[in-house]
Amino acid sequence: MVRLADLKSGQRFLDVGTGTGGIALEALRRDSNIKVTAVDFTLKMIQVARQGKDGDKISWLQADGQNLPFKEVSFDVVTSGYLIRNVSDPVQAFREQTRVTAPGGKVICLDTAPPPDNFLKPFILLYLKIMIPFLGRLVAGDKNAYDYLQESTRAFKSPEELQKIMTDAGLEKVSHKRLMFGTQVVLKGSRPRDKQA
Amino acid sequence: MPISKELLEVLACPKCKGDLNLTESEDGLICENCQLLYEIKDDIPIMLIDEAKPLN
Repeated sequence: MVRLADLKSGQRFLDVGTGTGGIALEALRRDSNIKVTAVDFTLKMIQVARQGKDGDKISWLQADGQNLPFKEVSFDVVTSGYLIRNVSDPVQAFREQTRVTAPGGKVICLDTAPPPDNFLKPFILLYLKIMIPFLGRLVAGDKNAYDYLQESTRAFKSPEELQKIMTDAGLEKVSHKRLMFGTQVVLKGSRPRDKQA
Repeated sequence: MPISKELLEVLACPKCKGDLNLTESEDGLICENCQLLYEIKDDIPIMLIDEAKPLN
């Protein structure tokens, strides 16, 4: 995902809904000359995230993905991972990301996707049905702990729906790529150069 | 890390998207337009509209 951002030295990078900071820290690891800012709705997540390696080189803020605290055109690349499933208004979240991105800059999103309709689908559904309760029991001691992930992965928006949401929010050249047997999807779009979002 | 000059340049009030000023003691950011104070706790600016404190 970070590779798709095609980062260049000196660029300004924002990760929205950073959680434990995985994407932000990986971006900085790939190029220590970029300026990384990361926001999450939950303060505790940020407190964990900034303890990561080189976490002190990132600007961390508590903020709502649907009301970003930045001026227009503040970043060259804006990313989000597993954010859209957690916001009430996905178009508004992408509209905000578009607003703070420079014209020609990129907005990249990673999320889960319902399994594609191919011969693997029954196996993936079986995997989701068996493995997620198993992991829940193993990790959290509760087989129902990750039920929401199973249900939300199966019921979540398709890549095509997400692509439409990003286009509706004012992005152009939106494309997507499925990963991990089609259960994950990375979407990429650009803020148009010739008009304001 | 404490708030850098570069971050201050791009920061805006999440409500009106207007300019913010750092308080003298550098423990908060003020939006004059909305008359709101966004606190900075443990070097982390709390930029949530619902958590902002009215100035008066």
